[in-house]
Amino acid sequence: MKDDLITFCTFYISNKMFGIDILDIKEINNEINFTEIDHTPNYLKGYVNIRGNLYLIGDVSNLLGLTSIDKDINSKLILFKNHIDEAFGIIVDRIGDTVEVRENTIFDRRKSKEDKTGELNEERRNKINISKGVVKLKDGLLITLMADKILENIKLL
Amino acid sequence: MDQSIFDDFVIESREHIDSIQENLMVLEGTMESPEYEIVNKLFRAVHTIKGGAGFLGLSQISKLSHSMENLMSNIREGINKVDVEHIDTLLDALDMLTIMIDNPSESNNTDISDITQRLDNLSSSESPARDAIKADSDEKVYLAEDGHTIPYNKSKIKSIPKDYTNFFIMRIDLVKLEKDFNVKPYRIISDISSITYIIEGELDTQDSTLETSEDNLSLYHKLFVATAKSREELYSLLPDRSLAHILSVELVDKNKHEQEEKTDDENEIPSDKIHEPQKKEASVSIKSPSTADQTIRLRLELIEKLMGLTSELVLARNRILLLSDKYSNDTDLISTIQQFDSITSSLQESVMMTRMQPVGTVFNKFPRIVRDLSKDLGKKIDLIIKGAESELDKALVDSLSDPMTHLIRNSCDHGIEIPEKRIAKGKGETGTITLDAFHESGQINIVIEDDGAGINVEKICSKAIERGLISESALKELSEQQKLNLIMLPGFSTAEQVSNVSGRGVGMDVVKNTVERLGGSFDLESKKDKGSKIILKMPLTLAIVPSFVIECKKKRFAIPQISIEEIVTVENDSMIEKSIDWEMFRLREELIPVIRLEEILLSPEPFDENKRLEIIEKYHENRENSGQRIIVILKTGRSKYGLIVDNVLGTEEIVVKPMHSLLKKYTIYSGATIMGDGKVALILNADGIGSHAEILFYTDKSDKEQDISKIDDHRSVFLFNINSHEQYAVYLKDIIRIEKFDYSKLDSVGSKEYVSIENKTYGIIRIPRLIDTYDQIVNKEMYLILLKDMAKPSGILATEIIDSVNISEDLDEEAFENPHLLGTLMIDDRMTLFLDSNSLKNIQ
Repeated sequence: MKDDLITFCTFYISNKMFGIDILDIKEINNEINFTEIDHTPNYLKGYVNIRGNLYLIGDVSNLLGLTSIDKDINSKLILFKNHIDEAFGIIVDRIGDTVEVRENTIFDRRKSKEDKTGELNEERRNKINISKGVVKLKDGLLITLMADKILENIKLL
Repeated sequence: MDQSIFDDFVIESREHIDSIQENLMVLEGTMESPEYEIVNKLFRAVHTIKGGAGFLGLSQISKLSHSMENLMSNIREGINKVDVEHIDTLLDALDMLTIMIDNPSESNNTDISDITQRLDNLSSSESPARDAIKADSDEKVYLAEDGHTIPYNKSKIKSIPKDYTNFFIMRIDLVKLEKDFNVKPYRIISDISSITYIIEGELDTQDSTLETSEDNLSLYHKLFVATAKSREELYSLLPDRSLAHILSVELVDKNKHEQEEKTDDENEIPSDKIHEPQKKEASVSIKSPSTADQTIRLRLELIEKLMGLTSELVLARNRILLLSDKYSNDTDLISTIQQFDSITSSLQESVMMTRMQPVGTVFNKFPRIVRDLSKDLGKKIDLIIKGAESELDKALVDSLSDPMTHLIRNSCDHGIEIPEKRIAKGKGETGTITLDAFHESGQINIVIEDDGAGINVEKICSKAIERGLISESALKELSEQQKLNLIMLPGFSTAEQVSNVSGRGVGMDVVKNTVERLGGSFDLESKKDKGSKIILKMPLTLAIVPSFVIECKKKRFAIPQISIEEIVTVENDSMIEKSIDWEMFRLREELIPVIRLEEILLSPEPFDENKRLEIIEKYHENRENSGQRIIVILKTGRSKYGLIVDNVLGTEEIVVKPMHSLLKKYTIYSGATIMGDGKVALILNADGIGSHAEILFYTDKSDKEQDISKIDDHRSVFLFNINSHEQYAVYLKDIIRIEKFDYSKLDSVGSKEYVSIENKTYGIIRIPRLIDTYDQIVNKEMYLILLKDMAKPSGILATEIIDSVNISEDLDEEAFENPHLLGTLMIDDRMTLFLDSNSLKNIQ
């Protein structure tokens, strides 16, 4: 199992490359006309109508410690499959290619850090929690994210 | 074994349990002379459960139902005379059975010895008829099978219905049944048990462990049955003849002669009512297959899916209607679209009907609850159920179950007094709870009324102060009704001690919230020592809701029509008065608080006093030049207020989508919907907005005024002209609204006329066609008076709108005889004809 290939869909937020397991993704969509929802915090962008179904769109840049996304023509939505959430997606700056990665090449930062500094504090652990680790690719570092953990963390915010 | 077989068994058994419970209640009511039909139904239901449980290896369920069956059989045969103890024991057994069936996998570990002991004691209780049977119950009879005879225990055969004279042994190939025909074994067994009496059933397999792979598995179910049907009829139950081997057997009874004598005796024993309707039973069993043909069982998911698709179709239709505006020259397209529109509406309606269920499914469990509670509490209570056949959406039926149970429990516990108290008050010792359901203007009303002690207002007030729910000074301001409504505050429970009946900390607030979440309203009336009355008004369906679309901060929102009382426009903010920290608006005689939607949207934090003062400051200065304000008057269960919005865009039938789980805590919304243009709009929750602004108890309406306004509703009429002769009147309560339209846009198909206003098509009702009068005067602009509850949306064509007035005199009902007229009256010296909107319902 360790050597299984995982296909990541890559995308960019603030020029950093991220990837999510393609099996967690239902579709990529161009629709960025949100219906904003007053009273909700700004990491919830609003509702969008995808062929008659309502999706709630979130912005993970806060979660990743990046500046929040200004949508433009390159902005895309990544909509998750039902097993992650019934109707949730995130907005990203732009979409990249898909890459295949061997699971054992994913370098888990959390483990190595914990080894060096001992216990991490809770907050930090949560932040790193959404990432599976990083992968060195030819054209840069790919930070892999776990869709279910993204949602878990958004619920905690 | 396949989980789905278990599931089928559980589902079906629950239905049987419901019917057993209902019939037991009926039986209790007719203990003196039990109807054979009822007892037989009970017997069959239990018997079916027993058959299924035996087949699935659920031995304890089977054992318990066997004991129940025995007792019922005795009752049926007149061996046992029904008394309260029988009913109690059977109900207890039923409860135990319910528990086991809800969790079949655990059922075999359940201890049922107590209850089966009680059942068996009753079954074998001394009774002369019983002894006669007992004498030979252990004797053997012999079965002739294939030329062989095998002994058989006669006692097993004794409870067979008398006309079941054919005996068969069936051997059904279960593996083939499932594999080749995809039929669940349980279904077959239940079919068979519907026309036969299963004396014995056993699994027949070469493989004792059942652990070989499915391919090689051979599994037969062997049934020994008695029936009135022929062998061919048994074969016809199976999808294919090859699935079973049915062998006819004969009963050879050494004591046959004796037995016949005995049964003759039996016939004469107790009340002949029990035995006599044997023919009736036969006719029933013939009838049942034909009714079964007309209904099919559907998976709920399938209906849900159909519903979802229809909702999407409605959205697509709305969008097409919007787009069709651009092509209004293309008459072919327009007429096709109109056809599409009407088909979609009919389809939507029909699909909605598939989800309709009678409220009776909820009501039917109350007789048992009331019975048990009245015993626990030492009270005498009659429950009267009316209107159980009124239908509403399944989802609503399901979610009404809990709140209604709570209300019924409340009535029993707090409402109805103990007999001594009732007598002291000069009432009959038996209290009455009436449960009534009826349709009214597209809603269902459910009324729970008791003739008990009523709600003690003083007690509520002192409790509310004690719990710190309200200050003493604020309490003084409240009207009697508002004081009563304090009972609906969260965390309110007046029970002096927590009883196991009600008062578990959850109270009326939970009930109220549930009802309001479902889009309904909740009203409470109570008179000391006279009783209380609770009126629930529920929409018939949750999925599609007629709504107003409004605009605020350039965003669109939908507000369900059900929560809107009216919409008024005021010149500017100077019409809005200040009252300490509230903005108020004088609507006719009534002062109602005003909330600005814009401020609500801007402030995620709930309002407090300072926030409200700040808002008043903000708008006060410039109030003369604020421009026109539109105030939507909203009514929620406990309050009424005006909501200032930027614009009202029109009405739309919206498909409600629930909020995402992350958004549930934002209570100013109740859902979201997709508009005709494909954009998402949020649905505002009138109650949520009220709480966000902390409005709660600011309704300024005394009880007296409320009564008058109720009467007013029926006495205010709307006057209009169609020519210069007599004038016409329609009761205001029957009108949705008035639309002005361009007469040249009137269209007709055959003799039917219609007009499209804001993408909706309305039928035209012309008065001269209904009533003998002069021709209608036609102007460039005409009015359409849209009426409520029409078979198809339509309105009366009016030339001129006069006014709305209150009338005090009675109508003269004789001057003018016409089915569409209620009567006539002189108003302002003009002859006024009152139209009967009820008679117009089906006119098109």
